[in-house]
Amino acid sequence: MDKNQTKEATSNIPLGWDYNPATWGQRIPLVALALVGFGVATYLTLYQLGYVAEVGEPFFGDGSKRVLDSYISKVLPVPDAALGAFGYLLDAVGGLVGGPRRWRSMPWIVVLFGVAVGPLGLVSVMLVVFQPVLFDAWCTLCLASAFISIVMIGPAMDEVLASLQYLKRVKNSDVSLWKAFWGYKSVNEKIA
Amino acid sequence: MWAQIVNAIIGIGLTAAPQIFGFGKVASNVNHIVGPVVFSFAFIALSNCTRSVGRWNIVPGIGLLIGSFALNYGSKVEIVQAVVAALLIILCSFFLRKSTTAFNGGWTALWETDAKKIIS
Repeated sequence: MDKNQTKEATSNIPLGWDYNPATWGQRIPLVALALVGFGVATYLTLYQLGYVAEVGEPFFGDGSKRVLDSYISKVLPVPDAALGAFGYLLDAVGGLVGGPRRWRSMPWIVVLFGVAVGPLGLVSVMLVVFQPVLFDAWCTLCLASAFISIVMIGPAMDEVLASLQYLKRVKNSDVSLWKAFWGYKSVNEKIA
Repeated sequence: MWAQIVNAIIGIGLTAAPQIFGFGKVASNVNHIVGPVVFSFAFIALSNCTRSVGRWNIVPGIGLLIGSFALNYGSKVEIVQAVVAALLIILCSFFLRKSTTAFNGGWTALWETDAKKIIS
């Protein structure tokens, strides 16, 4: 083991990095944001399902109603806001599972977390574009939800990068990538 | 980092401009597509690890520039705002925030074929 590898083994800092991206200090703010997003999306889902009669809209008149009652929201068997709520719940759970070493002990959850935060966050940008272009309306809470998604992407991706670099080292070491992805301890101990 | 903040503000400005200045349908649609995209890429690029995403704004910037000439904009104001915003977006896309942390080669290391370069 060289000096870098010793440092990683003792402090959980990825090889060649200055900090550990999987500490609770890094992840808890993201989980908190995801829970706020989940709350907003759940409220919008309740409106779309008819459990809440009116939706709060402080700026754009009946814009929220036009967006939330639009045909796009009814394309899928479930309301689109429900998918958002599920995505945020996935973000929150994905942020909580595993310890500070999970970027190498549980790459699967880090990659799942990255997929939930990254690509799904970009989908929310597409939904923001739809509001004025397709319905000539804006929905404040939908914008707030999309903003939360965007805020989460940057801070979440460092942990994903650490996991992917670890998996790259596994691949280069001729050790089972499959086992490393699922966090087999026997593989974990062989890789820097 | 300042350049990404400027691009994020331009993104918001593009999105709000049609309502403020009463743009026509074509310019409004272009602004409403490009604005949120530019804002999102710029905001994501504020993070150290994803700073290179700031360069992605070159694409919507060029799209906005081409659109201002190729599409049927209603007034000179619409064309001028699009050209000025597009040039600023493209310019700011080249100024990424300084990396304050080592990421062991970053995202490009994932495509690195030399194993030693990744491990060392």
